Amino acid sequence: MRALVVCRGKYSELSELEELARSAGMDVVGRLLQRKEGEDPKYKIGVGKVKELSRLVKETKAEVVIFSGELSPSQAYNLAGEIGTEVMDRTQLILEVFSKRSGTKESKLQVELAKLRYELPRAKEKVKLAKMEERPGFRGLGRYEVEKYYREIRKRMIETRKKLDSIRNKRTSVRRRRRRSGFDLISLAGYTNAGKSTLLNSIASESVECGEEMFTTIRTTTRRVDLFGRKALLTDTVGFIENMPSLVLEAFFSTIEEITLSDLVVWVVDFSEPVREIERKAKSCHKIFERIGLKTPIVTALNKIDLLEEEEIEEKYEKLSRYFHNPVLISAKTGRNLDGLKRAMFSSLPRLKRFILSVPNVPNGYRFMNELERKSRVIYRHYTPEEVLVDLESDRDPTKEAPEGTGVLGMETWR
Amino acid sequence: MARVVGFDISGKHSVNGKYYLVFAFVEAEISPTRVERVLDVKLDLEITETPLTHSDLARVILRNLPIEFDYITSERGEFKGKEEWIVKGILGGREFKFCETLGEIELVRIAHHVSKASRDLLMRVFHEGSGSLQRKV
Repeated sequence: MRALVVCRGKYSELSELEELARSAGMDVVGRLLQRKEGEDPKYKIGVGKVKELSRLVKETKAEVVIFSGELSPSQAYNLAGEIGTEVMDRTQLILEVFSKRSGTKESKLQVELAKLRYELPRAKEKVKLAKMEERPGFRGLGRYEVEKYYREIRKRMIETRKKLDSIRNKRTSVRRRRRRSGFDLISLAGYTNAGKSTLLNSIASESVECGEEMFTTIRTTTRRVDLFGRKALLTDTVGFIENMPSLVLEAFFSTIEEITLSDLVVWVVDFSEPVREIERKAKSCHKIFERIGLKTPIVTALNKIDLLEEEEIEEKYEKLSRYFHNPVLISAKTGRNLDGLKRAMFSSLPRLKRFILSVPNVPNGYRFMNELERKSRVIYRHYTPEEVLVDLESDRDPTKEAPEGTGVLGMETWR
Repeated sequence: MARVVGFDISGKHSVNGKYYLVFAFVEAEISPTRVERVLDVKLDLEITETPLTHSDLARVILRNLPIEFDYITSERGEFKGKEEWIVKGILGGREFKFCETLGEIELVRIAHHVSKASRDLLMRVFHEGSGSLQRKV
């Protein structure tokens, strides 16, 4: 599909919009930028720019015009009338990308919910406009009555939410089971296209799909990793974007919840970009962390340093240190300093309690030892004819499930 | 770790033709993701009949700043959406940043709670007298 991107504001917004359009499988044939601040209520852009846009559409034979920011239904209607082609805003484009990438049942439902949430406040105006005259992007409503249309959206939203809730409950129980099995939960978070999936592949020796396009990952992928003897599960999550629409955040809540409920977050940053871009994206990520109520410790992985010179790295690091907590310079692609990142992850995980136990040397005791091996980090074992001395680290008291005769010889808060 | 002063103002609206403004300044050591240690909390009060101007605001801020700090931070709204470099100018060239990181946002939130609670207390004293506080205690 031939697309034309239009932005009122900064050049960086336009570039990002263009990238998004490409990720949605569109062919960007032109771009238009209006630097003037403010917003025209009728068209969003000025009248002069609308004429310019109309001419550009004819020249490039664009099939869709994409606007940065949000368009009200009346603005979209007016623009469609003036330029004679379908008009789309940024939220619709993001939903389009997500819809293209959704492979699982859960992500399909999430995208559907987000689309319905987008549609609901617009339903009334859209129906009114559809009654007036048919225009590109406004056809095919069928039942025009506002109430019927509105009620149908609400009904579908309730159904989708119910289905998503049941998936969320399953996910919660999986998470609980993983915790009970002694795993630390670590999430990879960050701006879209920062290299989260590549990092997961490098750390966990996996082959999860990763690409140059935005939002390659929209569902979570979890893999087991070993951090110097501590068992952890590393989860790849959906990427963030500047001014992430609330309806997308809400619809993908169960996916984003993985980040807030983990023991540690590895924030992946594309450090190869210009300072301004990194700063802009870092601000957006902080804003999203704040919106989702993140209280988990963070390790920042400054990725893609293989594309930079040493001096450049130092210069950027100095300018941007305000934004990054526990920063580690890495290259997920070449595997540079991944050990350093693992060390930082290990030292940022919640503290474990150290126990020295004396377990009776009987069959019951062996079963308990197996459980200990599975759920905690056993450092040392010493067998005697009567007992087994076990030195271990665990996040919970292991003696609760211990067989009779087990004694605690020592206990301290230790990593 | 940076030593930052976060501030917040409560009471920018008029009550019976007067502005009861409470300023809260929280000095703290912050990391990018959280407030590590609160070092000092200061409160200031201004009762005026005219809305707060930028020069009034600068005067109050400058008289409450500690001797040593890295930068000042606040929400965008405190300076009515002015650009960061303009605010720096208003504050006589002192280092200023709008709160953007998790640590800065948390710091400004603490300042907000301090100023809001103090102003609520102040308004109760003004309207009901200090006896209302004793009753509450």
